[in-house]
Amino acid sequence: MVRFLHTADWQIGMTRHFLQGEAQARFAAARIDAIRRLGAVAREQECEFVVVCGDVFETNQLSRQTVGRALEALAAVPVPVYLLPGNHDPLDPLTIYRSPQFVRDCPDHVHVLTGSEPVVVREGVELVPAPWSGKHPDTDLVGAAVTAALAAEERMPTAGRGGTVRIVVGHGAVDVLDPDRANRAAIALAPLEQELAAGCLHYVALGDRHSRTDVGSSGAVWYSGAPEVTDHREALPGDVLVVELDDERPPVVTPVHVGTWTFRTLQHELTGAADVTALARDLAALPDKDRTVVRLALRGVLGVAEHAELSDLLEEQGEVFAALYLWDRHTDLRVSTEATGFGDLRLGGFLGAAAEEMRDLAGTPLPVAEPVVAEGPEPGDVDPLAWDFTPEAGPDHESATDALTLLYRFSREVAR
Amino acid sequence: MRLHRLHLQDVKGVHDRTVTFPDTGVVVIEGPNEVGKTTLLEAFDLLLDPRAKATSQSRAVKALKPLGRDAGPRVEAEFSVGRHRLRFAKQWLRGTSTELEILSPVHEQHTGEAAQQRLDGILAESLDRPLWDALRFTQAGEMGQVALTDSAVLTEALDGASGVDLHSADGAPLLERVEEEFLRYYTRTGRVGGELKTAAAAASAARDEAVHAHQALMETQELVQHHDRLRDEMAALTARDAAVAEALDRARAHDAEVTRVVRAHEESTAALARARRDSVQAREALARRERAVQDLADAQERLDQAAESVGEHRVGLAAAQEATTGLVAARDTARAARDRASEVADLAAADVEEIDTAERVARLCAVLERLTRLRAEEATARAELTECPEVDSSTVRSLESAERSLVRFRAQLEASSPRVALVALGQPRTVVINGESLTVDGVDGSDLPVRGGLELELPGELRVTVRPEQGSAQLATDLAHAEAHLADLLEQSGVSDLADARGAAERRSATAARIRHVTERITDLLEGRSEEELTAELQQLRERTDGPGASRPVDHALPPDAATARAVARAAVAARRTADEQVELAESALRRHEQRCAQLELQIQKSLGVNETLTERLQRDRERLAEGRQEASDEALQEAVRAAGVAYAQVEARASVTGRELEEADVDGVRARLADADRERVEHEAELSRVRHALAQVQGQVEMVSGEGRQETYDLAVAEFVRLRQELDTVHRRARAARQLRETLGRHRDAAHRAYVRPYQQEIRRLGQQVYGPSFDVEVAEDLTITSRTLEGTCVPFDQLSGGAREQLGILSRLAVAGLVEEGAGVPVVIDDALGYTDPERLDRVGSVFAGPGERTQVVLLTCTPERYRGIPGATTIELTA
Repeated sequence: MVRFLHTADWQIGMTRHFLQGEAQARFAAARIDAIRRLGAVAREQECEFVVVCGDVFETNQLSRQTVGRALEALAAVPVPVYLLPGNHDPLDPLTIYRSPQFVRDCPDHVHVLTGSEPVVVREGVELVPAPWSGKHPDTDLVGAAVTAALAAEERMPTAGRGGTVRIVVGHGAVDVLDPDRANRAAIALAPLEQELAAGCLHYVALGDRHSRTDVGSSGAVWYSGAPEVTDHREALPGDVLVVELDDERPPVVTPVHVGTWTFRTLQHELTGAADVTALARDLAALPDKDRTVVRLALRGVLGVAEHAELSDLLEEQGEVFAALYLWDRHTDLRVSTEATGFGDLRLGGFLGAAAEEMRDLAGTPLPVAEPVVAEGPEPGDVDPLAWDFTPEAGPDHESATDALTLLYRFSREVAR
Repeated sequence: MRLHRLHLQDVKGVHDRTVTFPDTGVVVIEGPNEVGKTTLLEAFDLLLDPRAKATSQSRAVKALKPLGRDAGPRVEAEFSVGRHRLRFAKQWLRGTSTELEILSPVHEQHTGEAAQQRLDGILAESLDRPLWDALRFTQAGEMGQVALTDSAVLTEALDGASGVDLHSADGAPLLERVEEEFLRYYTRTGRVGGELKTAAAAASAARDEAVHAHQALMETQELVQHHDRLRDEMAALTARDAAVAEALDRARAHDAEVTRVVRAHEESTAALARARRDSVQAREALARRERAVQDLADAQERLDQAAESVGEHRVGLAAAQEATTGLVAARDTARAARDRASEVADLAAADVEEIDTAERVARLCAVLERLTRLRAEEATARAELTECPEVDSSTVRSLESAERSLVRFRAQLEASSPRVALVALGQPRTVVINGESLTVDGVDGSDLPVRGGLELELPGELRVTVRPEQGSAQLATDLAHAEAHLADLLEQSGVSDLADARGAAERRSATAARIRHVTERITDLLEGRSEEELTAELQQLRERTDGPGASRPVDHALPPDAATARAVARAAVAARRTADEQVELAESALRRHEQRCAQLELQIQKSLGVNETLTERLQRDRERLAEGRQEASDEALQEAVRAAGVAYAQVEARASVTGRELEEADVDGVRARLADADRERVEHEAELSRVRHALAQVQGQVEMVSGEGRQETYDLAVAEFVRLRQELDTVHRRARAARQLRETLGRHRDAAHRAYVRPYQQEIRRLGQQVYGPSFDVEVAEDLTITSRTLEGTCVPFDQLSGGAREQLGILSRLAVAGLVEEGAGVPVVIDDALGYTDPERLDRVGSVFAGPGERTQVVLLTCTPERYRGIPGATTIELTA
């Protein structure tokens, strides 16, 4: 019987473009703190060791500060930790794991799985690691490592088949979940399940998917998911898995939530002041705002006054949340000609005429919004530096809307 | 506003004056200069000025101080403004007071500060001050245009006139607020500035930062790729290590084998060369021996031949020596013949000489004989000459001369001298006359000339001397001398007279000729020689002829003549010459022969010497040959040649074997392969070293870079950029809103302005056409200023119009405004001393336009020349006097 903690995808050093200023720093700190928290879980759950299935670091090129803090947190983990290099932190020439800083400061109980030879954790417990040595392997590293390990084992029958718990530590997409059918590096699930069924393997600990996932039907192939959320797309982030293995029975996998941050997407249909109020209420109801990232998908038509109100709301709340931003691709807001608040202002003379002109422009129907893509790449994924500021953009629906809002605001100011 | 009454007391030069204005129409206030027309208006202005409180000590207030009186200026006015009709009075400086009485609609009365405040309140509410200021026109003031847009009354009026309610009371502050917002993001000229510029700059800087970080990241990627490539290269090279080493070993083994073959061939080739040299040497030794033997034999033969030839020479010499005797004999014979011939020749010559001598002797004898005769002849002649007196031709000539002188004297004497005739009287008598005895006879007597004197002497008896006269005497003397001279000459010559002399001379001459002739002949005969010589020669010849005649041989007869002798002599000489040649020939033949003999002898001697040398050398060669044979016999040499040949054949066979082996070995190929293998190994190692070095270098760089955290830096930079970009988007969005708002509002406001400018323009045009006729038109800008005037189709900008035209337009524009504003809201139009620039013809028409507005509002015209405004119908004239 062995109990250990399965985690992965710490992505230490990750930055998120929607996080600004100190939010980014707190986000980074939270990811380091997750190490301490899972260390505490390991102690509480009496885990013998921790396996981290790849992407410990967001990249091999991290600042000394970041690496130093991660090592400092690792030192606080009370049990041995096995780090597997993944696609983000492969064992390439730049690898962090061989950097002087890491070599010097790495705590003794932290081990890097640099080879694919089985590593004996203790008698009867063996890890079969499949570390990445580059960003683009062209084979199923896990399959290769397993094949090699089992072949070696067969050559040494004296070691005995029974009694040794064999845990595969891998990273990457499993073929059944990989939309890219042509990916040669995809991990083939079927052979693993065969070996699991044959009792040659006992658990396959995987990393790469940031959502906790039980792969296949064996109950012994798991993605732990990231211990701290990294993206809105993730369904079940923020967990670590406490795994209990026994030669005799199927593994017992218990998820423990350690994440402290939340990424939310709020979709709202806005048609009037009541809707804006409802949105404000919803936002106010969200807990832990300083650790919550809210993405808003807003649709609808608002009067100028409501639009101004919404703008004020977002501005106010944006300062409270870790991040509050409009999901541009799923946001389509317009200022309505009808639902205008100008009536109260009694704008006479040329002011009225000007407001009328802008109102017409603001009401000009836009091209039909593109259909919603379920899980497409975020705008941040295209080259973020391909940007050019064009200050000479002519008036359009948006600027007219804003101008109306502004007029509304100023009129009220002047009237007061 | 409407002014009803104005009362001034102690204001400037005005002591106390009250002017009452009619409610409508044109009021012309006329009066001389300095009467205080303008002061009226100034005082009213100050009364309405909220700053000029009664307590004010401002300059404007002090300006109202009366001249020469110590009193406070007081102004009181009754006027209507808005719905109020009121009376307001103020006294400044002294006895200050403020009084306000509101007459309607509700009566109120205030004094002091309260009065001032109440009035200020009413005016602020109802008086359009900009309009009040604008509608005053003073000639002294500037003729430019005033900003009418500030007048709310006017704008309202214009709005009303244009039919749209475009003006908003809140417009200005709102526009200000919009402008302020716009200026947050843009410059006044519409360029990006302020917050927008800052945000754009920040985003751009962040982008640059991110690009920079990205470049660093790319560099790292390249570095890693380079590292990968190098590692692959390294692996490939390492994999080749064994193959390269093995290839080198193989090549070296092949090379060793080939080297052995090459060395064997070199050795056999060297042996072959040695055998060839040995064989050649042996053959050469043998050949030298054979040549030595042959040379010896040849030398012996040559020596024998030489000895033989000496013998032959000796025989020749002997034969030659025998021939010598004959030749000597021949020579002697020739010599004898020559001697004989010589003798004959000598003899013949002697004969010739002998004959010649004889002939000479004969000739000499003949000569001498003739000489003898000639001498005799000569002697005869000479004797004859001796006998003959020595008279010659000169003597004759002297005689002849003397005789002629005598004759002449005589003649002269006779001719001149008396004559003495002597006649003997009895018997002849002898008389000596002059010493001369003359016989004088008696017959003939003697006639004697006296001549020089005559001395007649009768001997013993008498002497008569006749002396002639002097001349005659001289003559007689001369005659005597002449006679003496002649006689002397005759005597000397031995002749008697002249004739004789002449004969003697002839004879003497002939004889002399004869002598001469003979002498010549003698000379000819002697031929230059003397007779003695001839005689001696003859004597000699005779002696010679007589001497040798005895030795003559007998057989040799003397030739008959000289010619023959000479011929004989010539023949003998020829014969002797021939004999001489013979002797010469014989002698030269002998000489040549003797030379030949000597040559032969010399040759023999020489040959003998040569033979001796040859013999010595032959001896030496022979000894040397003997020595050589002692060392190696001829047979031994022949044996050596044979042995060398055999040895050579053996070595050659061996060499051909090794040569074949060498050919089969492909030395070049093996060597080239070795070199290739060597080079390959060197290159391989160099490559390995290079790659190792590069790898170490790149490794170093990679290690350095890996600690820099470039990816994180980049991620952070991108995050920062994205943030700033979003911020910029937000700012830009706000900026665009502000810009659009400003632009739209501005545009609409301008459009509104344009709309209300139109009625104003129409009013000016209407009024202007009354003055200038239907061609008049004006252009009015949005700020209600007149930009240009058009008259008779000519458009002139306002600034370039004449002073008069501008003045008229100024008045027109004010009247137009007065005509536009609402009746109650209007203010009086005050024209102070204007139209000074306007020509009289136009004055009438200008005057007529005042009437129109005057019906609706007050029009106050101040002037000191009331004629200007005579044309205004219905005008009220108030005359001010001092």
